[in-house]
Amino acid sequence: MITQQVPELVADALVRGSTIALLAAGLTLVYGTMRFANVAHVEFATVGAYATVSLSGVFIVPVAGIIGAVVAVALGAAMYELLFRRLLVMGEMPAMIGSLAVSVVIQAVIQLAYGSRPRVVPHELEQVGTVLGAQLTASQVQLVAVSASALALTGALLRWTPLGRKVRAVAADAELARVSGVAERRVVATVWAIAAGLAAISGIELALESSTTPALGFNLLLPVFSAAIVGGLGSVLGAVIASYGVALLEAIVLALDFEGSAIPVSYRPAIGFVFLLLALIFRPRGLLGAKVRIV
Amino acid sequence: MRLFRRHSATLVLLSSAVVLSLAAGCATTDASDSAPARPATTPLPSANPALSGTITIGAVLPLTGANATVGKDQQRGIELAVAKINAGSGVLGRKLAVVVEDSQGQTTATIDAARKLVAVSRVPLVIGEYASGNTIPMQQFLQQSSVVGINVGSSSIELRGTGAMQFSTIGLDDKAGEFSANALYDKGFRKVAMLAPNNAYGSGIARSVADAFTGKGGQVVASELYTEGQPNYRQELARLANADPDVYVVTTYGRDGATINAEMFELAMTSKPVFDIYLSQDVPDSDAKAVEGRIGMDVTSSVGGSEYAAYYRRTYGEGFMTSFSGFAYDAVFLAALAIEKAGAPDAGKVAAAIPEVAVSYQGVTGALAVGPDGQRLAQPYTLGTVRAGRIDFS
Repeated sequence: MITQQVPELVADALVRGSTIALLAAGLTLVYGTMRFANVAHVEFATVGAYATVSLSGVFIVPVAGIIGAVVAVALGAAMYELLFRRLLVMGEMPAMIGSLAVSVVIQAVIQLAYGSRPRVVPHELEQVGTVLGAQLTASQVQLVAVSASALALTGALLRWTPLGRKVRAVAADAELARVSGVAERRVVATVWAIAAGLAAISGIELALESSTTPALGFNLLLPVFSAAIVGGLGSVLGAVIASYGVALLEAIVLALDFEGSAIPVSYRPAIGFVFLLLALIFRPRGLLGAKVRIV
Repeated sequence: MRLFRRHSATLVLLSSAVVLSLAAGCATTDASDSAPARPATTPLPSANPALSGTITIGAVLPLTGANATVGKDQQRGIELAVAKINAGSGVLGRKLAVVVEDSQGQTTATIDAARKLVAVSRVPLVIGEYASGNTIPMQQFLQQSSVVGINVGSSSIELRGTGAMQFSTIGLDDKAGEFSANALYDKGFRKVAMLAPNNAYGSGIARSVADAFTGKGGQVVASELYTEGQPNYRQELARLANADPDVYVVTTYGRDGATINAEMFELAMTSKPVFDIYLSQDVPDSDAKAVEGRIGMDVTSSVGGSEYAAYYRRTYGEGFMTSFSGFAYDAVFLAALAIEKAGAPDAGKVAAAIPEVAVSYQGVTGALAVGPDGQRLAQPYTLGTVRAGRIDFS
């Protein structure tokens, strides 16, 4: 028996999946073009969130958010140009370890500057209303809508623009793309900027929903990686489907009632990882990681 | 992206924009921290010039990390105690010094800090930490190293088993659970739904409250342990709400506490009474609107009159940040008395002396007498209500 109504389950999955999807999409996008899993990716969310928190004292929240995202984008592009482009010459492993180091350094710097107490974006708490049968606050509806738009925009960009074609070309075969006249470095730098921007949106949403701590992004590392892997590393659509899908499956499993006893909520992360294991066993290349890589 | 390739100056400019915008925030946030003009503070009393030499003990506190607020308050308690002792007759005619190490709120860092105190600073006694998940392994390590440990902030009942040289100046969760259960029952609640973190502390306190409450004839209709660090807790809270209790009983801390409190308000759960176990763990970090009117319990940092509270306020220009400074304060005094009685800063002798001096010692948090297991026998708790964002214990 299911203890929660279907609209509630979907709402839980949408709210939870949105922030993960934005991060997983960017992670997988960078992986697709560079074949390297950037652990520091989640830190763009933290940087975006803290930039927004700092600037919210100066500007109104939406403006602070936009500047926060720009800051993360600049950091993303700079990080690629100054660091990872060079590290990747040495191989994927040094680059990945390097990204772990960058992640730790960013957290340390943020902690040094802001302290470790949670910080909030000043906003009015509001009570839930009923939206299509589910209990949601206006800001949660906003969160879902903003995430969906950002993801749709990214999808459209990759699918229908010349830049998107180049990104897909680099993802399919960087060498071939280069000899065909695609400026690989420029394309990859753009991908980093887009990925950082998406992550920053996620971080800002989290800051608005709860609060920021230096470990804001790092706490999400495992769910984000597992969504990217379940979706098929390199596939943006796969990562998005996996993010929402795993969130929905978690919600359903937790809502199951076995004659009066339910699975304790503390097993939520474990449920996600059971799906990760199942996916790795039955679809080792991920949901959409088929022969043709869709970026 | 051509600009990145051609103009490294642009890059530098962009990077500095990043740094500047973050730095701008620091400036404003620092300002907001100290925004209300604080009353003039009195410096700590200066040391008695007759003292010569130093006796050093150690402390491991969460100065950074999720529990940094408590850590800072514990450090204040230690500072106040050390200043007071040194302004008087010191310890064995020498000055007392406490080397404070940061645990970062993490277990590995806690043990590393304790190891440094034992191996490098060679202290006979270590005070700390705050989270049970850190204090338990730290006391086990101290016991193996034959160093005395005094727990000043953790309340897991597993601390009873950490060893003969390990003590607590704070009551453990069976006492807190019993007090909370009695308070809930006396307020007329019969059905409770509980939320606690999924760790040594959370599962322990949830069990203690449940045992005591059902023992009195009450009913626990839901008991959930949440995983820390989640982006939201909608589903956890939905479970509590679905159980339709008379009162929600919560115990949370840090960012998760702030998130949970905000979501309880958003989900209109605050229309029912909320009882908070250890109010000062989460209320200071939460949105005032979300916790308004909440009732709950906490340990109290000054039971024996307000002399300690006044000393604290005089020194720092504000009231207690949390309820935990007093336990650290008491621990320093207890350590000083025990060293005095032992006649030397020798760990074995100090451990033997602690129960003897504790029996008759009245600390700022109440009588400190410990049982044969080294744990505090009686712990005064207090009930409080949140009014206008502040915890009112009167």
